[in-house]
Amino acid sequence: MDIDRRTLLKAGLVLPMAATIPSLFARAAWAAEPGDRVLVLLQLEGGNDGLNTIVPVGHDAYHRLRPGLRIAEDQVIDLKDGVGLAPSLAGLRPLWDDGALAVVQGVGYPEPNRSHFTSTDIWHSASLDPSRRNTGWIGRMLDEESRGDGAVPGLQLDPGPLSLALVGEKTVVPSVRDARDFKVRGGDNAVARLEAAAGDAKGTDTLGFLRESARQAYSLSDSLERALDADRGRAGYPGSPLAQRLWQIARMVESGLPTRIYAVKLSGFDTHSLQKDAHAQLLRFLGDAVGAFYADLKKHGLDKRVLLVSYSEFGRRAKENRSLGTDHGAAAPVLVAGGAIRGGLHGAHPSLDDLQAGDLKHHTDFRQVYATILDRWLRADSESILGAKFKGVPFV
Amino acid sequence: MHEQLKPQPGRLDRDAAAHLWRRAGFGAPSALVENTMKLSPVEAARLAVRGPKRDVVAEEMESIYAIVRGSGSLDTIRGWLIRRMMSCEHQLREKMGLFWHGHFATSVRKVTDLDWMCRQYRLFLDLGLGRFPVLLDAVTRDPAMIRWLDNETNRKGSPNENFGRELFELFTLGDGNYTEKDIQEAGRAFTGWHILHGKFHFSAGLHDAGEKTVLGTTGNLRGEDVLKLALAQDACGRFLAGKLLRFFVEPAPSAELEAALGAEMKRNGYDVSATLELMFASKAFYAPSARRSLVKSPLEFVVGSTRMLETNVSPKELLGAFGAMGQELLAPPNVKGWPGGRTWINTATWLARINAAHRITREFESQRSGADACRYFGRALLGREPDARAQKAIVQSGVGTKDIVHALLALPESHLN
Repeated sequence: MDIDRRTLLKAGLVLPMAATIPSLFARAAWAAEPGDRVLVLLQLEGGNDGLNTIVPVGHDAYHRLRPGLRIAEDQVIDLKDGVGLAPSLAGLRPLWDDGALAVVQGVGYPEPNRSHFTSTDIWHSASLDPSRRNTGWIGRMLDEESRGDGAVPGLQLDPGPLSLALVGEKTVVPSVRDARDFKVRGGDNAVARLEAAAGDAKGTDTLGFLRESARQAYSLSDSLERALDADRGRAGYPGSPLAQRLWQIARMVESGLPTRIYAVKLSGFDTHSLQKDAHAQLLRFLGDAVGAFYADLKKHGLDKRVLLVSYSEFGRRAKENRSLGTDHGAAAPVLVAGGAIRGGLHGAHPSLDDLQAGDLKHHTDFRQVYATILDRWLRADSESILGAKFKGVPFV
Repeated sequence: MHEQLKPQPGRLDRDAAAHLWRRAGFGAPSALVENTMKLSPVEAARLAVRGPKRDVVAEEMESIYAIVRGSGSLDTIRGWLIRRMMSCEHQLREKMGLFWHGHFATSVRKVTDLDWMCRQYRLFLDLGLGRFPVLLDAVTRDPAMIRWLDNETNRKGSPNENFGRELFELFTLGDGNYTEKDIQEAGRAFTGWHILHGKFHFSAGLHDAGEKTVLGTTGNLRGEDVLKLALAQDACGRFLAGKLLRFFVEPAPSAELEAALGAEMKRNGYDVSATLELMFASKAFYAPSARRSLVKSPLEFVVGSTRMLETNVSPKELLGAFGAMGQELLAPPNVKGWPGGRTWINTATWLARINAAHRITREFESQRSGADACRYFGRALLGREPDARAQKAIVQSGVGTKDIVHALLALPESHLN
């Protein structure tokens, strides 16, 4: 959209484009501005065991706390400074070597909540105040920059409900299981008829919300189908659902969709019992998928436009339980990947000799990670979105 | 009593009757809506809650239960449950089954045993309209629940606090009405609550019989005592009432209304039927602001559409669509169940709904056509005729009745409850 139109739109002098012309043409207004930066949120659902992800090397306490679950030192991928990657994260090795992997250690928040739901909501809303958890940090960012041009601001690729992180007051972020499931049955003519019947009246009530969702669905459907038309680059990816979703994201970024936010999820991290193999398998899904994604982006010259951040609602208790698993804990590492970031270790590994109620203590607030991404990557205003100024972490 | 819980005066009109059956069931054929119009809100609520003297369809469904349960097929079990929702006359029993399934959300993905999943859902159908304490006790001893929340590994000396946590957070009190310490101590009270040969088994040797303090009470508390302590909290009535109100009445009930219905519920001994009769007759339920204020769940949309259109679609044909719409029976997304409301709707689920509607209408037969069909089926689905603009967009030359009904189902209004 050109500036004149945007100004007129703001002044209320013209209708939003999508309201006046068919969606097929509205798509032309979606062309991404070159250099637009993309953020991929990768949620590790269930509470990832940070201690067996970024593994302490040369600490007796680790072996004492984890007699059954410990990863032997000769198996870890050494990252220096007394830590290493779990061997099942070998897929991330090339990123580390490229300086495209940042490990932010000891991330958490004060008075950690050990409920999956509450803690996930805390992370997604970026609020420690229970009465302020109706919107997410990304949803608020999208509200602020609301472009009003019919572009899809963000996209969740997951069969589950929309992540609270993406919930805004004005912004509707769509969610799909597989971007290619998007085809309206009944032919092209049907879409036009259904769209016309749905109406375009605006409104903040539930009916207005449904109309807006319907309108977005019809117009997005077509452009996604085009972006994923060919199997381009697919061979380099493993078959896991996460990898397949990252492949689709790479294609959407490449195709010039103006969507800046993508969200994906890997579930199953609530490893209360017999954790070892299950956790290693999950990390393998993670490392192999992100490794393939990075290689693909790099090959197509897109790696410097994309930043991926993986996080979990909490880490797990330092001491393993008697079911060869781990219970809900506190601080854990956040992994950041991308061709334009400052890779390496950020912050020290939390001390294993100074636990808090059996859990690792955090030294970096998760909102510092968000502030970094908002201010330095997305060029947004973290202070208004997070409600306070947080000191950045120099991974961007 | 809270003003909004007092009975709505007068008799039901068409819109009110359609509203009642969409909420206290999955929607009703026109004949049932018209019959209900003669009743007062109190009489109608009693009919919806108590059901017919005899539910012949439910009896037929019972006659094949053993086969369904033993089928080893998740699709067969799901199809049976959806068929019940489509056809059983005591609709509220089926609706409450779904409500409790969402409340005690347990997924086959972890439990894996289909027979156990079947048995758990039976509890919701059989006890769902009775007294909540009886249901809670049964669910606490239910093998699927014990496995789902890892209580099999909850033993003296190495407690697993998962069940204790969800008992307070999701089943009875809600976040903020207990402490972390309460959870740990409650977890100890449920040590030894295990499974043996597919049945609940109390392993006395693994039970921690020591002193515990839960919700302010100290003693050698057992699991049963913890359930009683939770039920004795005012927060429990309020929490359950809030869930019922958000499921059946309005998306954001006032704290006063939640507290008032919660107090009634606690006073009547958590009698679910009595609470629902009160709620479905109330001014709050019939308030203009409550009507069409909820977003239909995928099951409400699909099952309701077939009921209101009086058309027959095999549930099995639609099972794939439920995954895409975001509501797979026996596989809720997590322990918290389906969050519902606006979260049902996004680009993906909207298109899945439109495509499910397409499937429903492919076998649809009717003598009616054109503008007549649009008005008639619009009224059946919406409780009133679609507005003129929508009618104009839907009825175009050369468009058949199947496609007219498809477009009606694609109206945003058809997704409001």
